[in-house]
Amino acid sequence: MLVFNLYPVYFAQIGFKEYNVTMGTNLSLAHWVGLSYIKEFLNSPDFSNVMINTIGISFFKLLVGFPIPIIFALLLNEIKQSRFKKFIQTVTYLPHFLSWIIVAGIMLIWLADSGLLTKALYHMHIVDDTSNMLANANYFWAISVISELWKEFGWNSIIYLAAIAGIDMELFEAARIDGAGKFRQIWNITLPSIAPTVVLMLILSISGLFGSNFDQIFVLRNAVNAPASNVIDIYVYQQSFMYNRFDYATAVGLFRSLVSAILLVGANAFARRSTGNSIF
Amino acid sequence: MKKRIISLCIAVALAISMFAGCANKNDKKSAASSEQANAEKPVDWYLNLSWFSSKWGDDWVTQKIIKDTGFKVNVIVPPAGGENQKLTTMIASGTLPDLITLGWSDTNLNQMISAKMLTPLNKLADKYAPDFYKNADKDVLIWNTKDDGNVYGYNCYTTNPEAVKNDPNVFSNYDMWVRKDIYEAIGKPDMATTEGFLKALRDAKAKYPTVENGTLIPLGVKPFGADGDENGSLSLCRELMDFLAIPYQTSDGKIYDRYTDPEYLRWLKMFRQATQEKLIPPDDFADNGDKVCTNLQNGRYFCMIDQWTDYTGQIQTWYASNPDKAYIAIPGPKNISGAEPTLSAGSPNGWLTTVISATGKHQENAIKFMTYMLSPEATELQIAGIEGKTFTKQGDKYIITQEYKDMLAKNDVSSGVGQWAYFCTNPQSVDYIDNILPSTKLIRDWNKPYSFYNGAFEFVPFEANTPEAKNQVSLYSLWDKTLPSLLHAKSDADFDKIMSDYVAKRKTLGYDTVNAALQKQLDSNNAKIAKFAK
Repeated sequence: MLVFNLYPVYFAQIGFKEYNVTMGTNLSLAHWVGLSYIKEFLNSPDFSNVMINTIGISFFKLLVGFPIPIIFALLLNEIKQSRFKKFIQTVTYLPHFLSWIIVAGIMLIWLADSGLLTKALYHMHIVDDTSNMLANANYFWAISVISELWKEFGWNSIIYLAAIAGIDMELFEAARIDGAGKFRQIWNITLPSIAPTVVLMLILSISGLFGSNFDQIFVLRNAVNAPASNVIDIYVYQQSFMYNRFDYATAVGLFRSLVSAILLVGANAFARRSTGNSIF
Repeated sequence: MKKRIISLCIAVALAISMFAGCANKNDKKSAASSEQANAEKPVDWYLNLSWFSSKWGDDWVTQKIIKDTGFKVNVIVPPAGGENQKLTTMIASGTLPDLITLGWSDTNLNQMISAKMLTPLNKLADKYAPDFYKNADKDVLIWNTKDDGNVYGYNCYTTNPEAVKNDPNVFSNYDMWVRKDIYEAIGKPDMATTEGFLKALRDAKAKYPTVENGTLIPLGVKPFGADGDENGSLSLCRELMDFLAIPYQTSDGKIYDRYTDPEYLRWLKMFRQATQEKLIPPDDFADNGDKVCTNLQNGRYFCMIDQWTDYTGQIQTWYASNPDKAYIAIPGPKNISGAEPTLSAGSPNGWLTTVISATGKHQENAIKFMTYMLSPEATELQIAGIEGKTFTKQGDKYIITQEYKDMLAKNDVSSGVGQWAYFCTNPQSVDYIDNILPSTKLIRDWNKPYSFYNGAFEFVPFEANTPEAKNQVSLYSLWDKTLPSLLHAKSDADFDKIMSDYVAKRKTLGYDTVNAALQKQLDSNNAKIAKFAK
C-alpha cells in the first residue's frame, strides 16, 4: 500500500510545480507555481467543451445505466426456471469480460459506412443515411452510453441479485398470504430491502460523474467526433503524452479528483439525510 | 547474547552477499573484456518507431556489419503506439540507452538537450572518432549546431537544393495517384482544376459505385489527426498547399499565412462540395492509418492525395494481382494561374535525428558506430546492399540482381537493404541503382520536376510550458476542429463564416506570439542555410 497508494501521492505536487520529465523523480529541481495550472485550465478555450462532454456523457450513463441493472435484477429474480435464468445471466455477463479494444473494434466495423448496425438503424429510420455513425459528432454521446450499457448492465446487476437473494423468503410468503400480487411484493418488499445497496451504488456512481470511461472513448473517438468526445481523461492524456505537459495534466487530473471527492461526500451526506442510508 | 548472535549472523550473511555481489561484478567485468577481445562491440540503440520490426543480425546487411566491425546492436523499439510513453519513461527514470533515434520535431529532443541528458557528438568525436567529421555531411553539422556551439544530433534523409534539383534519386513524397483503369474509363479527366477534380470524382463514383473489394472510395486522404496534429489531415493542408504552390514566406522574408490564402480556400470549398456529395465519404474522416492501408491494398480508392512513401507495400500488393488496374500518378490540384506545384522534397531536418545519451554505457562504441554507419562503405551497404548479392557494378553504375528484384517484388525485406538507414545515409550519397519497384515507379517518377527544397520552413517545437508552446497547442487543436467543420459546412457561406470565426479565434489564442517566435526561427534557419557549403 505504501508503494502503490501513498508514494504516488507525493508526486501530486507536480501539479503545482513547473516540472518536466527530464527532472525524473527529483522534484526539488522544479519551481512552485501554485494554482496557476488550475487557473489556466479554467480559462482555457477547451474548458467548456471538455466539461460539457465529461459531465454530459457521465450523466446519461448514470441516468440510463443506473436503473436498468436494478430493473433487470428484479426481472431476473422472477424467473423461476433456473436453467433459463442461468442462461440469461451468462449471456448478459459475457460482454463485461471483453476488453474495450475488442468491443470498439467490433463497433468500428458495425458502425462504419454500410456497417451492420448502421444499415439496421437506417432501415429502422433511426438514422438518415448509411454513412459512418462514428464520423458524426451528434451520435457520439448516444453511442458511448448505449455501448457501455450493453457491455456492463448484466455485470452490474449481480450485486442487486445478491442483495435480493439475501431477503428473507418468509416476507414474500406472508405477503402472498395477505393477497399481495407480484408487483406489490416487489414494491413493498424487494425494493425497500435492497435500498441500502441501491443508495451505496448511487453514491459511488455520482462520484464518478467527472470521470468517463477512458478506454472506451479513447478507442472510439476520431477527428470528426472530437467536439463531442473530448473529455477530461482524454484531455489529460493529450496534454501529457502529446504535448509533454505533465505538470499541467497532473493539475487537471487533481482538479478532477477533487471535484469527484466533493461529489462523493455531498452525495453521501444527501443520502444520509434523505434516506438514512450512507456509506460513511 | 541471543541478540548479539543474531546480529552477528546478519552481519556475516550481509558480508557474504556483498562479496558474492563483488565476485559477480568481477565475473561480468572479465566477461566484458573478453568480449572486447573478440571485437564484439555492444551498443544499445533505441528507435522511437513502434512499427519497426527488423532484428539486428537477421538480415544480410546487419550480418555483414557484425562480421566486418563487430558492432552488436541491441535494438529497442517501443510497443505499438507507445512511442511517447516509452521515451518519456526512459527520460524520467534516467535510463536512456546509448543511441536514441527520434523524430527531429519531437518535443523530447529539446528537453533532453536542455537537461544535459545528451553528450554532444562533437565532443565524443574529438575524443574517440576523428573520422566522424570526414564521414558526416558538413551541412547537417552546421544545421544542427546549437547556440552553445555543440552538435547533439545527426539527421537522416536530409537533402540540399542541388540534390532536389538534379539528383535523380531525390524526390518529393507528396503525390496524387489514381486507379488507371477507372481514370481511363472516365476519359482521363483534367484533375488540376476544381471543376475537373469534382467532375472526375463524380464520374468515378457514378461509373464504379462498387469495385472488387467493396464500395469505391472516390477520394482518400491522410487520416485526420485527432491527436492535435497541426495538419488536420496532411493531404488537405500542407500537401494541398504545396500542390497549389502557395509560398511559405513573403518576398521580404516574412512568414506567409498559408491557411488564409484565397487559392487554398477556393480548393477547400471544392472539397467541401465533394464532402457534401459523399465523394469524400464520412469514413475518410474516421479512418485510421491501418484502415487506409487496407483500403489501398484492396484497390478501393479511385484517387488519393498523400505521401506515397508510406504505402509502397500496399501499392505493390495491389499491383501484383492487378497490374492493369495499377495506381498511377497524375497532375494534382493547381492554382488558378497554373503555376507548377512546389512539392516538399525534404529539408536539412530530414526525417529522424540520432543522438547519444550522456548516461549510456557504451559511449565510445556509440560514436564509433555512428561514424561507421556514415562512412561511404556503410552507406552503400545500407542503401544498395552487398555486391554480388543484391547488386553488381558496371563502372559507377549499380545494377540490381535478379535475385534481389524477385525479393522486392514479393515484399521480402530479409535482405535488410534500406531497413537500417535511420542514421544518416543522405539519399544522394550513393548514386544508386533503380531498385524501385515498377508499381512505385508509376507513382514516384511524376513528381521529380516539381520537387521543391523545403529548407528553412520546418520549425522545431517550442519548449513545453513556454507561452509560445501553450499557444501553439491551442492553435493546433483549433485547426484540428476547424478543418473537419469547414469540409462539413452546409454551404460556401457557412464555410466563410467558419473560416472567419477561425481567424478571429486564432488571434485570441496568441497567434501573433507564436508567429513572432516562428519568424525568429525562420530567420535563424535562413542564416544557417546561407552558411551551407553548397
